[in-house]
Amino acid sequence: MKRILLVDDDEEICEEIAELLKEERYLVRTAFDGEKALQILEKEAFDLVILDLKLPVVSGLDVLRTLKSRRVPFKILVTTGRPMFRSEDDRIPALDKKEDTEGKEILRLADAFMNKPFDVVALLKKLKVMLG
Amino acid sequence: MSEKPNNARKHHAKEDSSVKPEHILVGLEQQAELLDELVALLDLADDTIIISDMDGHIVLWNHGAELQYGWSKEEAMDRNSHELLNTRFPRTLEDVNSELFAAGRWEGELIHHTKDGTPIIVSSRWALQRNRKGDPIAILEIAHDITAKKASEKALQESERRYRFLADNITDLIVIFDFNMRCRYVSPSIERLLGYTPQEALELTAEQIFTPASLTLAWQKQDEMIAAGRDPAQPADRMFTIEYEMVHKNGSTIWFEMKVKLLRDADGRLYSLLAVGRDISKRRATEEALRLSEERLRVGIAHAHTVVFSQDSNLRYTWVHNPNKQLSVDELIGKCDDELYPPKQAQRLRLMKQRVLDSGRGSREEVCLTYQGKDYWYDLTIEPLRRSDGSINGIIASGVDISEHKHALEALRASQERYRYIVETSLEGIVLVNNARRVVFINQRMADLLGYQVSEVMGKDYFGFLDEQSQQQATIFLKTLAGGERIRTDFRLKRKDGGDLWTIVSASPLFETNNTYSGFLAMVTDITSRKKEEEHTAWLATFPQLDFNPIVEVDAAGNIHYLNPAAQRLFPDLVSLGAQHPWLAGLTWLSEQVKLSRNQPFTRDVEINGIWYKQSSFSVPGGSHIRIYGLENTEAKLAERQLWLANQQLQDIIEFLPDATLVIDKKKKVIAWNKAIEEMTGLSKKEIIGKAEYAYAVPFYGKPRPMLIDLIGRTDREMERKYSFIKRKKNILFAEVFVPQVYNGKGAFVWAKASPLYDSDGHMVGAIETIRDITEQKQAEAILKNDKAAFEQMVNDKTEQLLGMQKELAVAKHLSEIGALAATIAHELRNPLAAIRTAAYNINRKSRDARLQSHLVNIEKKVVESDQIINNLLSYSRIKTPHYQAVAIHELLQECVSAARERFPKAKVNVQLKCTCKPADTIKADPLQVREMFNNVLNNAYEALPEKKGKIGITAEYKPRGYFTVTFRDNGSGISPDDLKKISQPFFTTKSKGTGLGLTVCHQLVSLHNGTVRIESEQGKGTAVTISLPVEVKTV
Repeated sequence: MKRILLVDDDEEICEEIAELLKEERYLVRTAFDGEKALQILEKEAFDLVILDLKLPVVSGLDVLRTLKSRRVPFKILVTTGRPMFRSEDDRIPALDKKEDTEGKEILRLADAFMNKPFDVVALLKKLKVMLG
Repeated sequence: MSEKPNNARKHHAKEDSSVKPEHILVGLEQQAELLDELVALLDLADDTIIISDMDGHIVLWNHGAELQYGWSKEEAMDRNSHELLNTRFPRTLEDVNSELFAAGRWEGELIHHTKDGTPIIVSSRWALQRNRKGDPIAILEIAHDITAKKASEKALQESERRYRFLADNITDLIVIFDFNMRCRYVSPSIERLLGYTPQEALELTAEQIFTPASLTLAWQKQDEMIAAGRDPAQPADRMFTIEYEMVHKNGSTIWFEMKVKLLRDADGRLYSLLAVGRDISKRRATEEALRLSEERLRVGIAHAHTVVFSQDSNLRYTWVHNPNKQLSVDELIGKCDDELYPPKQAQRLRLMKQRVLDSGRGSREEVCLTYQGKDYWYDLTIEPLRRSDGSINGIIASGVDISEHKHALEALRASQERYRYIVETSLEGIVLVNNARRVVFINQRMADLLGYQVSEVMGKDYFGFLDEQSQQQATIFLKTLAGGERIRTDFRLKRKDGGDLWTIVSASPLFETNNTYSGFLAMVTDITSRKKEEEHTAWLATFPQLDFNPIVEVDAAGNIHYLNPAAQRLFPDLVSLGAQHPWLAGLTWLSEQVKLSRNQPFTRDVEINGIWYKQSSFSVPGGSHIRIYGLENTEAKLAERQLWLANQQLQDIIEFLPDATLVIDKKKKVIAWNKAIEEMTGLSKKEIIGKAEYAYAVPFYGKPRPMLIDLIGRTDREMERKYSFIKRKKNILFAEVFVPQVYNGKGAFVWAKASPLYDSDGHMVGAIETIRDITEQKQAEAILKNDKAAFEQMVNDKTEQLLGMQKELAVAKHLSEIGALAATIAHELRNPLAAIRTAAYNINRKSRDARLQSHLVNIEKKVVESDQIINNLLSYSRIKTPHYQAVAIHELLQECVSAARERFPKAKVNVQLKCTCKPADTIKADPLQVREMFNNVLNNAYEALPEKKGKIGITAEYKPRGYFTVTFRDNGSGISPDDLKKISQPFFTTKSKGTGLGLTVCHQLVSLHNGTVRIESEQGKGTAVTISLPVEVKTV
């Protein structure tokens, strides 16, 4: 069974997605903040991380940076409600500001994106692809 | 005996013969007989009788005289009596004789002496015997020995004097009580003692005499004595001593100590009590005083050289002994501590003393008293002072002045403290050992080193902390030390845990004042940790193993001698490929470079599998190996590339600037020469780039000379005068001038701008000059000057245009504020929407209840709608320049239609798409923006169909002049002409929900593509929206 770490500060989202993924026979763990997520990742192995960008304590971007600098073997799916990406497959930051370096960095580091509220079927499809 | 009368007769005869014998003879016989009788009588008388003649010669010496004086008759006869008896007269003999002759008799006391010389006192009576004629013829002396009488008289006088004295001074009370405790007899002293006369006393009742307590005691004692007196087994009547309190006439009471004895009558019957009492009130008071003084003494003696004082229950000084020199007794008596000492000290004293008063328990404390600004320390002992009944009525205290001791102690402690601090905080172990090898001092550090508590080591033989070998060593050292030499050596000690403690010991011997060796002081440095440091070094060596970055050690032949785990992971095939691996590319060259760079690392960038590393190579000391460190710097590399790209872009921009542009560096070498300037001057880049010395001026002026670009940062009036117009704004220069050589010598009137270039640190690194041909403009100006009216018209037009632009700008500003708000709200809303959407999915999946289906579909639909609203808000707030690309427009349109069908699954709408273009045909547009345009229009069309039933016809076709149009035509409710005017305004909506932005967004997007939107509507019949987009990118 594939193991997924779900990181989102919205507890209801976590609960619902965890439920959804369990039904899909994934092993799911949740973390409500970036620090906690990193702690869990220190100890346990995962096949994929679903990472929200807006997180308390340690931001999603920082988690993403940390993980990528460590060259972690698993893929990272970034989900966000932030008006950043025009569609899941669009790799162009939606913000007008030319100096949106953060947006560019996320684009470079993340393996895939989903805008909230995501289509559940699309999400499952994406996960399946990412997990090979 | 017989001789006596003879003597007397003889004597008498003599007398007779000497006087008138014839007369004596008359009746001589008779008379002689009488005389003999008389003499015999005289002789027999007890009294001493002596008769002397007028010459003093003894004529009669009777038996009494013989006994009294020891002289016999024979010895005494005819002797002068006064001579014989050595008579001492109170007066002269003549006086006595004259009194005797005058009165015929004399009486007096004389002192005679017996034969053995003993003086005796005699009462002497003299009588003068006369003859008939009356002439004195003899003296009769009767001398009665009164010596014993005199002595007893004197003794009696003595005794009487004594008794009288006793009587006069008797202080004791003598009372005889009957068994009813009434007085039968009272000595007169009662008057002095109890105020009653003896007569009054006899009338007193027992209750009047005794206090109630003493009366009870008296009755009790009387019963006891009577019982004892009647008991034959008891010894004869004993004397009892009892203390009674008796009542004075004036009501006060007096304590008596009474000696009481039973009295018996002649028949031996008990009948009364004799009591002799002595006033002991004073004795009692004295006793009390004595007890107090004893107590003072006790404390005083116990603390010699101390201040001793007592205080009453109000803590006022009542008695002070041996006060300190600063305070006299008079100053202290009657005062409290509060009046003598500073408040805090006085309070402390008071509390301490009050505690003793309250608790009755003694207390001992050291106190500091400040008097006249000086501190005095006392070791103060306080004891309660008790009355005889045990109650406390004050305190007694002794204080030993320990000021000097205290100050000395303080100084000593300070010095000791310093010393202790130095020793205790020393990082060296310090140990002091006496000549019996016992540890007499050890500091904490030493104890720590040994792993013991300080207390565990104190007093121990230090050989106990050494193993056998060290003990042998130590024995030798001890001899050296005793010889007065110091020692510094490596030395091994034994720790409590059995481990070795390796140290360097510096020991110095210690000597008594008389130069005898008394032990040594050792400083002990732990060198065990040095050994640990070696281990630490070994531990450090593990670091490469743990390094995240690859570390490889290789020889010049490509044999790998070491690679750390990170290198193994990152370059799994390094060992197998050896020198062929890209990490070791150009190994021979690399090893040469490393050798050349000596201690400096040789660095280069290496790319492995898309990751860039900064590779640093060192020559391994003492070997031919190269150690290669890798540090990932993909980002830096990318940044470098981006920088290069940016630089390239800048070059490109300059290249394609419409104005002729040249850039020079600090040394005035041309570094950029763009296309426009090439055209203007006819001089190509190749010819000019890198040239200096005003080479750039030649194509303008025909010779090398300074130009506007050279005026940056300096003023040259003369040169400036050559320009028809020149202006300086900070470091930027603007000028207009005619350059004769350009355009193949045609010349041109140009406007030029020259500005300095700065690096990021603000240093000037070069300059740029742009040159614009304004020949035409100049000509136009000339024309305009000639046609003022035309010019004004132009100005008016421009003004109008500007005003319109300002209006638009205001709207845009308003919108951008809304946009910021929208972005925030959107983000916040999307999270709950995500949860709702997933939850709905989960419900659907779990329940499979057909009745829930429609509701869940509704939820899903509404979530999508909400998201669409959010999207519109966001889109509107961030409409921007399209990203043009070839869009398969037909395909896109079809996708939009099917997406709309999905969004409105209930609507029974007949959508017809008529397209004259081929599926492969494309237009240049932003596909996302186009999709958004179509979605918005389709949404409006769907929503305009009241019964969600109707027709939507879509026509798409290429139009002349490079346009592509799409028309959406519905048969819905249509729009009123009034609404139609407002339809493109932001936030205008006729729907109960929606942002009113859909069409606005659509309008904006189309405008950005330089297209147009046309809306035609007829109320009740429907609406047609036509979007026209340019097929190719069209700039205005």
